[in-house]
Amino acid sequence: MKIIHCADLHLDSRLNTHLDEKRAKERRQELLGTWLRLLEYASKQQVSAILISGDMFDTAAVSGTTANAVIGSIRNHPEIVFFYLKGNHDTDTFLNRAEALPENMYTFNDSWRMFRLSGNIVVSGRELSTSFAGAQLPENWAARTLKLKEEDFNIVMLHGQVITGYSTEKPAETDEDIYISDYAEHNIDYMALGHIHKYSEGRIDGRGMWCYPGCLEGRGFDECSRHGFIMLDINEETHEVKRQMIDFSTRHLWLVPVDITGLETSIDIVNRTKAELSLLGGVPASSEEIKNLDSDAIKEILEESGGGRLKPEDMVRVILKGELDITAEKNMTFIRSQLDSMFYYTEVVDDTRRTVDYRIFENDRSLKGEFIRSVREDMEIGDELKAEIIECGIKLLIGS
Amino acid sequence: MKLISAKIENFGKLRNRSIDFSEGLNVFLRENGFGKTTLASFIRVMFYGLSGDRKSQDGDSDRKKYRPWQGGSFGGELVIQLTGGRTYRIVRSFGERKAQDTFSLYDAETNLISTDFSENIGEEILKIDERSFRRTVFIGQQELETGMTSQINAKIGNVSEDPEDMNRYETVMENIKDEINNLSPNRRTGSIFKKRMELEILQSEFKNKEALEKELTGSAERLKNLGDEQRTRAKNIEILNSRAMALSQYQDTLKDKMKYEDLIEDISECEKRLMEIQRRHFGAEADTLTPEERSSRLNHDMRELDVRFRNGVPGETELRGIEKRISRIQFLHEKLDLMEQAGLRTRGKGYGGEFSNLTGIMVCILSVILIIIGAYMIFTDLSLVIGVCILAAGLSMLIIMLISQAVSGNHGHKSSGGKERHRQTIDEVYEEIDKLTSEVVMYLMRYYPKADFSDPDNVDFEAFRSLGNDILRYNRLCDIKGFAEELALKRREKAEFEQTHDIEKLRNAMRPGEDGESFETLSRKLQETTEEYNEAVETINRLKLHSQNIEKELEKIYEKERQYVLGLDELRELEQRYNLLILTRDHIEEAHNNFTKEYMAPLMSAFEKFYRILINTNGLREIPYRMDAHFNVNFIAEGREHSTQLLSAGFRNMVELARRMAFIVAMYQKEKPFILLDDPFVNLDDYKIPGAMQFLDEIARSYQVIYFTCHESRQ
Repeated sequence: MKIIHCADLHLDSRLNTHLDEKRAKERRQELLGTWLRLLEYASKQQVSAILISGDMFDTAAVSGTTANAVIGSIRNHPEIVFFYLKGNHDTDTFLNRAEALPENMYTFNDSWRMFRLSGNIVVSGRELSTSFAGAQLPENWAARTLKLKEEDFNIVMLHGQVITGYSTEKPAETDEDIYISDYAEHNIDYMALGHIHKYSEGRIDGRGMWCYPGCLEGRGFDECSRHGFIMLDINEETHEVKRQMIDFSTRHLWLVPVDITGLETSIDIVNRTKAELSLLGGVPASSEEIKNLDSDAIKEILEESGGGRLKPEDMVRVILKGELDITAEKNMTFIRSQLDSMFYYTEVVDDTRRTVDYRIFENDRSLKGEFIRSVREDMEIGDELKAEIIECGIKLLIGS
Repeated sequence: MKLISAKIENFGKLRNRSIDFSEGLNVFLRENGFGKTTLASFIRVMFYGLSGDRKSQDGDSDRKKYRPWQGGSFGGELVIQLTGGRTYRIVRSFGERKAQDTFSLYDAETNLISTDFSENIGEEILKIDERSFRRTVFIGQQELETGMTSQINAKIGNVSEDPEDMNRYETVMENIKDEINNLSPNRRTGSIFKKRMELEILQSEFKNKEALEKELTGSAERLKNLGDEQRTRAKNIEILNSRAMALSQYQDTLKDKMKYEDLIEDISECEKRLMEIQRRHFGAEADTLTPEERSSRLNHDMRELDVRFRNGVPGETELRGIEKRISRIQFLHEKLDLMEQAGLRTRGKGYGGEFSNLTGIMVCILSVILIIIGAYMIFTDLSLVIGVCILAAGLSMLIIMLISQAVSGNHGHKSSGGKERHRQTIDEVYEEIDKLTSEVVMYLMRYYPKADFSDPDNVDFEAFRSLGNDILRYNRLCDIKGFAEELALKRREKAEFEQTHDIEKLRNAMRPGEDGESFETLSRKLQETTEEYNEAVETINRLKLHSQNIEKELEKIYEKERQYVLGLDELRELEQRYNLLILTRDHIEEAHNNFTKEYMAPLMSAFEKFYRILINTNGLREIPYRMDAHFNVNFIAEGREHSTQLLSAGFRNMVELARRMAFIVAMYQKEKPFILLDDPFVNLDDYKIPGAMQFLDEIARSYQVIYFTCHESRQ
């Protein structure tokens, strides 16, 4: 039996404020589009069930389009059973806009609910809460009340933050904490989690494991890894399970640091950046620049981004790094204009430093020397700001 | 550097002049109008070219001001010697426009063209621009009250290891000021001001975001609740519908049941009636006869009577009419008999007269008795009805008696009167009998076709008296037949009903649903719920529409919010830049002040030195001036600094002269310049002139001084 586990779709999310209006809207629709694509995929792959481990929506104010599309898409796939566990961002009013919930959709509440999917595959889940009707529940109540049969293949759905390892002094539980050790020896085979936006996994005990699929689409440059869902293929007789992370997002997000140390002109910077981007895209430009790139750094970027290749439909943040001579000509507007059309979205951040050793002026009998000394002696400003003031003033006095 | 000679071709009012300069002090004492200032300007122009081409005022434009009054070629030459000893001849000529100006430089010794300097020779040798030249070594009486330039500043500060940065100070400050103004949060045109306004407007546009979001969530919740209610309603409608259906089915069943029961009742009724009528038909035999016998007898009788009445059953009035006729015939026959008995018998039997009288008396007595009894009963109220009947019977018998007595009396009279008349009467009776008989025979023939009516006088009407009975019998038989048919029909109907209906179910039919719930109540409930359902559909649709509108609104707001967030980033950047610039500006200014302080002391002492010479005083007296970091000299009185503007023109000129000289000393340590003085002492009182002369002597020791004056006292 094939089961898809996904989470943290954050449909209707309004992140990426740096996108222009058109693309911000487009991107929001893409989130929804990816969900629909997932269903098509599931249908083709003859998936029996889809587990949604929370945060399907970003806000309580779910748009009509999204709510209707989700309900409609679930109805359109009666062959698939949907298990929807609410997350901290979800409310239960969205799905139920005067129409009845689809019959093939099952939801959970704040006590354990179990569904027998087939002869011996059981899906259990509950919304985590440390209190009930205002009263504090006993410690690890959820885990203590979970009773699963040894002979079943048990999938447990939860939405929260996994806390691994033992601690003698456990901090006060919050609603979203999941102490993995509490769930050991509970006959769990697979814990389908949601809440963390990056794919991650671990063992519960000798038998089972936990897994976060991450979100379906990266929404900001803090979510650059590959995104998609988990495909479980369970042998109902032997309980053997094949688990695969399917990279499924429409676009990937990339953080690309480019070392431009020593370059003198904007066009050199553009060329260096383009060379690096082409290398990441898997079609290295035959420019001399390639030789100047650090292959280890490139490998690291590729690993961070999930091993795929940079594509034109991706979203890229180029971070210019390194040290430039004070006299180097660097025009960010020009550089941005040159890189802008390469990808769906390109952002260029200047994180370079000028190689002016301000110490050489410090003891000068000159306005510059006097200026540096004046800034240094100002007790009211922090070191970081001092550095900025010195750079700004010296650039002005030098006339660059 | 010193000036060697000048040759003026045409320059302002000067024409074809050659002037040689010596070392030290060169005094040009000329009366006003000679062109001293023009000569001073000529020297400046030889170094820097004509200036002020773009000035609109003619007085500010050298070209216009010094265009030769008398025409001729505009220009001249100047021979100079640098500190190293090299001499150059600067040749310039000026046209209508700058493009027509020429510049040539010759080595004065070899007379060959030199490329050591360009036409910018003034700045190249003296390291100051024209503006700074005018403000230092060119000391005209009009130009004593001018301020500093950054080049002067830089020159003064040439103590610096990097003379360029002091040089740039003013430009840098100007640039910073411009950028700060452009960014300013306090000016309407400042980017920060504008950005803040823009953001404030944006923010005001999404201030009701939360309220709208709440409303949208609320709407979703209401929709959900309405949906739940609606589903309950739909279920209720379904239940009510099925109940109504069950009730309607039950009512149909009930109708069938009643119909069936009616059928059964009808059948038993029919059977009873049939039995009764058969019993009446067969009389006592009825119980002894077998049904088959009964049936065959009935059929037989029926056949027989059917034949009789094949032309229809006679009506009651008809029958009564015939009976009346028969009775009349019998009466007439009896009458005839009586008449014939009275002897007048002509044919057939006659009447017996004695019998008639005897009977008459008897009847008379009987009728009187009846009358008496009747009257008694009436009057004694024993029985009114019976009394009346008896009285009536008595009276009628008496009347009949009297009439017959009268008739027989007549007969008697007539018989005694005339035999002929009596005869006539008998005939009339016969005639009537004949007529009546033929009518009756005609009638009976219809029902008794086989009977012999050939002799009308001897028809035995008694034989036909059973006709009424036959009619009764026939009618009864018809009824029997009808009842039997009806019974058969009902039985058939019952059989059919039993075939098409589940009788068992009919018998066991139970009333569905709540007790006493009528069909009307149900349909009223159904109607109410349906109305509620439809109303709720409308509410839901309205709410959906409302939600859509909120969403549209929210979408706009989200876009504003996105712009706002972006704008905030931009604002933060602008503010950072602004603050950075302010801090940078303050620190550059401070650095400048600090740095200036370093050579302020020598500058101040030089100022003091020259000022003392000018006011002709020794070092014991305190000089009441102070120089600030911008080299402005302020006057100190009563412990406070004041602008020299408050001083008299003479003092002001002296302060400025001393200051300029202090600058020149500080500025030109390598290439010493010449000093052009264009009558700077005009404002000085006479008693100050010696000091001024001493000042001239003093500076002429170190510099070539070209001094123009128009007064001998100032020579």
